[in-house]
Amino acid sequence: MATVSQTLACAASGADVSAGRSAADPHKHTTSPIVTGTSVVALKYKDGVMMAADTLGSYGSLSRFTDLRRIVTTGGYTLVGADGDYSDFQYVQDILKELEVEDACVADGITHSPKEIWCCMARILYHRRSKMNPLWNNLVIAGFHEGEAFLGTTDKIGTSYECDFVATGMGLHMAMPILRRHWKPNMSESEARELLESCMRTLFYRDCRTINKITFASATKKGPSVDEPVEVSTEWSYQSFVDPKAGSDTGGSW
Amino acid sequence: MASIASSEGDRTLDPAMQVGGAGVDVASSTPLQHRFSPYSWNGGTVLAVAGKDYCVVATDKRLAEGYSILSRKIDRALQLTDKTVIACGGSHNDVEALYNHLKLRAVMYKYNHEEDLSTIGAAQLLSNTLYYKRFFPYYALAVIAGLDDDGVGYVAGYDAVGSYLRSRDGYTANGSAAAIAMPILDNALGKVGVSSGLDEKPEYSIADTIEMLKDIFVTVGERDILCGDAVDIYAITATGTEHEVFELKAD
Repeated sequence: MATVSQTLACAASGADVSAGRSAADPHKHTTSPIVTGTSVVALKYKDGVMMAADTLGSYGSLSRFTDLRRIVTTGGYTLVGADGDYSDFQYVQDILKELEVEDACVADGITHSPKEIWCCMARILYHRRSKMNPLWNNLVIAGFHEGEAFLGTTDKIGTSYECDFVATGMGLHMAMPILRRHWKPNMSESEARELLESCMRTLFYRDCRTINKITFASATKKGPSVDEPVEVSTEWSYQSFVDPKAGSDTGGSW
Repeated sequence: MASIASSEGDRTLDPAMQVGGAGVDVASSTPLQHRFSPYSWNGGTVLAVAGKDYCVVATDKRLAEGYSILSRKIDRALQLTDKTVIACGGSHNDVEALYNHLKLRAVMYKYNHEEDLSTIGAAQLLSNTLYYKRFFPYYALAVIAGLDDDGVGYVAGYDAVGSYLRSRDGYTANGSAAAIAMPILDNALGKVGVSSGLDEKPEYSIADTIEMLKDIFVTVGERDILCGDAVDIYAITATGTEHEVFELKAD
């Protein structure tokens, strides 16, 4: 087992941390994700926050699991969504459960606010990156507490920020432009849902690591809730889908 | 040779960078692995100018990663005491961790000594804090700005491991677009050295200094893709610190 000083020395010298460990070492750092989830998309709207993620668990390029739930509720106010390594997210869920149990044992009816959970998650992910043993996830933390919507995110090295709308992974490249164009403050529930569906549809068309089975979730004054997965409508008869101009100078793209 | 794809596209598959140089045979069927980096380059430009009895520090609010903008409204500056402000470019996760630590140290100093940490004291504390992590550094390119014990403007720039210098001419730049901004500041304010520009430099008022920093950020925002969206400006005088947000182009 590598000691902390060995780990830090390796990190400082630029050498890899695993160089200081033997092959028999049972402790394995996450150096790459195994079963992965793709984008999480979320936005604030009039009544609170809404979040969406599909249910695919990819094993490399294999669509391995088709009913993984990547959005969970925690405490009395909060949603946590994750992309990246699914087992690391299950570990994050264990930590969230511990927090819930601690809150329940105090028995004063108070649970952590969304912002507190976001802050806590950011510190945990930063701590693990500092040990060169990251939790390989982008986390999106959303909630509704004391009349205010909260939306924040953190990546696997603990880069964290609050926002009005967010998309992780491929969504950062393909859903963010849609959100930037169409999001506005105080959208109605149906407008918000329509915008999220539009994002998830675009991602389903273009991100190879998706399936059309999507969990929507929201956090409002009624508390956080995650719906059963649904399909979003798709349209494959667009001329550019039917005749993708293969062989022309577009390289088959459109 | 198999490789496992991830949800992000930013990690390299270069065999030379694979993990486990000691234990992994490149020719075997061991999967190629992505190299984990604990750092990110999130941009962040910091400019600071000191006057006879004031100090101004300005930093942009864009959080960037590669060609993506993650946020247009983050805070890069930390108001440590009434007359000391620290601002950092670099890896934002480290910057936040550094600020959390410094905030705690400033509070504990006040409890123990019943007065605020001085600007010069804060400058030394920041240096020591950065050097303490010399072999796994905070990737934070810091500027400290405030008033010294005589009420005179104090400005110092740092590297990531705590080497710091109080500016002789009372201005400094750090972070993403420091190399673009510095010659402009040299020309406007430099009194010593080869790039000092005009022989006679006027004494700028605090309002003029703020206007100049706004102009420089507008210019720098045109050339540095990591700089833009808005600027946090802190104007520090003996009566306290005033904060304003100046909008830049969000392109």
